[in-house]
Amino acid sequence: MDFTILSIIMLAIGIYGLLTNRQLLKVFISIEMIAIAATLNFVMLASPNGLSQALLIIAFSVDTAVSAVILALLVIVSKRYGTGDLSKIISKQETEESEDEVQ
Amino acid sequence: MMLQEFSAWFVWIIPLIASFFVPLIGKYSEKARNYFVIAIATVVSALAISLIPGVWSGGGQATAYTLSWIPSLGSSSPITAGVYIDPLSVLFACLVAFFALIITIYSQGYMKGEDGLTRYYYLLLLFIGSMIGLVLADNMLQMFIFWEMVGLCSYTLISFWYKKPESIRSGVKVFIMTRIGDIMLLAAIGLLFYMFGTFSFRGTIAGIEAAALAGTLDIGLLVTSAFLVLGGAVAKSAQFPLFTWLYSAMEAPTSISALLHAATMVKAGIYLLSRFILIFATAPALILALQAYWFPTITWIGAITAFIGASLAIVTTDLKGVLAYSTISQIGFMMAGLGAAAHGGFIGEGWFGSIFHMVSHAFFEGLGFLLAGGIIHALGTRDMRLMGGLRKAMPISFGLMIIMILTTSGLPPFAAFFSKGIILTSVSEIATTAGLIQTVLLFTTAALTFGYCIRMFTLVFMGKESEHMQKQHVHESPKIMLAPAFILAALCIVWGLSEPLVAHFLHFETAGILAAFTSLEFPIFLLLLIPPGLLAYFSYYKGFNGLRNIAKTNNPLTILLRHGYFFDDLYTAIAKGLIKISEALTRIENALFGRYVNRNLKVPPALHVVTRLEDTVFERYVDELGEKIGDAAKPDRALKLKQDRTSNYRNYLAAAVLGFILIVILIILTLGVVV
Repeated sequence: MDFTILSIIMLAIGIYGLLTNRQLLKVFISIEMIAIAATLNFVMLASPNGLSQALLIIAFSVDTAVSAVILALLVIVSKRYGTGDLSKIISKQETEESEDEVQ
Repeated sequence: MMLQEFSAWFVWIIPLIASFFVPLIGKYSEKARNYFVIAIATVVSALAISLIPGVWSGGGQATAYTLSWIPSLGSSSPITAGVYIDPLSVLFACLVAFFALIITIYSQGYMKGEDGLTRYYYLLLLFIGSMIGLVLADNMLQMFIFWEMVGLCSYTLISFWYKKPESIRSGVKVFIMTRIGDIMLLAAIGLLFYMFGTFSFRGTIAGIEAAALAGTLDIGLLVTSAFLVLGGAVAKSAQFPLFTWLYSAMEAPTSISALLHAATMVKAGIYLLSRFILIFATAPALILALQAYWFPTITWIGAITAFIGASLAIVTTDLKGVLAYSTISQIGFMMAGLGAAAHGGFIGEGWFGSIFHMVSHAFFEGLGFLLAGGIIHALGTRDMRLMGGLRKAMPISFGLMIIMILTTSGLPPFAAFFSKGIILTSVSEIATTAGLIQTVLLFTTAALTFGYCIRMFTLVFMGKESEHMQKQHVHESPKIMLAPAFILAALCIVWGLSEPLVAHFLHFETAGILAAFTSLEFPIFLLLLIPPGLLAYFSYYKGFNGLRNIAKTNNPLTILLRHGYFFDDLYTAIAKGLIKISEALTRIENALFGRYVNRNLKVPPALHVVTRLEDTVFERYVDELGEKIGDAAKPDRALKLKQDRTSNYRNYLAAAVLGFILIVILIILTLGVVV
């Protein structure tokens, strides 16, 4: 039960982070938080025969691989726009689009 | 039996595996890649067709072959992988496989010379494989995985031209809107698993049967899960109130639109509902309980969507937009038919009518999209106001389009006449006031359908050649694009008459073909076609300007139609509200824990610690890290990083070795503790 509460708290923090932060890296950390909250729940509720834990290790490694891809995307985005701030990126995109239309 | 099992597995495994070979082959030869895709589609079609004989001669019961998904979990584990062969799933699988072949051939002409075709064909095969996997899945978990894959593939294919911002945006819109339904479906699966302890369809059917016999059927939970399933189907099949994504999805290449509308994606919702109606039909008591709210809700959703779709198709100026709204409207018909399926605890003709209409819709809508693709290809625009007088330049498309609009409007003896007729009959048999309103709505829609078909046809093919057209060298579509259209046109004509065969295939008793002509609905339907026909005739051929003048003014009706009943505005408002909330939260957070503590708020000193902590952890390190990543990404920095690579590489290697040694030490320590 303790771990379920912990996982709910982590989920709440993650969602809160998603709502309030516009910095891409913080958004990413919030998403990871939500993912880990879910996995934590699985770990605690799994039957303790070792097999479920082994399957969870697979889930973790897939999660890590996904994180690597997301981080790579973050690098590309900050390279392209020179900032990691979502609102700035969006406004930059819009100005670029209107420039395209003028051309 | 061996063949059946083999085909049922490989009909979806082959395209899924083959999709990974597309990039490999595409690297060496583009021609080989194209032939490879066509060959795979042919094999898939052959495998799907080989499933028919077993079902045809069978008694209509389902056969299932299951394997343990994770063998080490033991045989009692509820997680299995399997195929479920019954008339419904085989019909869907054959339709998808057939369209896979049609679309891969059509793509050879339509997508010729585009960039990124390897990605296109890879996703196409993945799309087809996951859709066939969805309809043949033996349990809900497997179905859900394929359901998600279908959503993912349609998202990526809709944003295929990723350099256009609109196409990226509509892809994201499709993904997010269908997500709402995915979550509902997942909840429904969870509820059913909670009740019966199994994911498999057969297990659920057995569970419902046993509970009904024992009298322990939890009607409340079952009805809840039925509503959640309906939510999933509504989002996936673009029904009221989540239908706006289908119009945005028109940014996709036309070949993909044809596949999306005819066989995959939007049909997944219809499959889901018809499958679950069959499962629920195990217990008459359950069907009776569902008849109170669930079935009428489906009919309402269907009737309203059918009407909204048809009325919007009349005003849109986008050629593909007309077809998109037409699909929304036709799927509304299917939903209405499914909703009218239950009669006193049993499944009636409405169910058969929807499935039948699903297939005829696939044929005429697919035909419409293939022709529209040719027209867009030739003219380079989707705006119907720039078209006109195409009948001389594209005579074959002109002829095929006549078949398409006649079928869409549901005139005899084309396919939709019979299928729509069954749906209208079964809806009109609902003996309530609601049923009466729904029938009126559906009949109005049938009349509107005729109206928008004539409008589209006239704007594109009739009249004088437009200025836009004269500037371009307009030519008939190449043969490779016309051949698939010919096949579909032929099927549009034949399919309606094959109703007894389909009924036999589905093991369903129907009133037969002749009943469509003798029923009361037939003369009403024909009479209703006269007003839209006359209006269109006078507006487009006799210079009657009444309707045009109404459309020009700003009366409530035109405003409503121009804004698509304000659904997109509503969703934008919801999204904006969410952003407002998040901004307000950020402001509160900044006021309480921000770098500059707001003195007016009189924050207790205890919270300053939090501020300082957050200051150091988040603001300093995380933001710095973010900036550093941004810095590292700058070209000159990246170059420098590259130059330093050797020394860094050694550091990484050292760190990896150190980590490995640590892990080994840990293992030894734990083993030591255990021993």
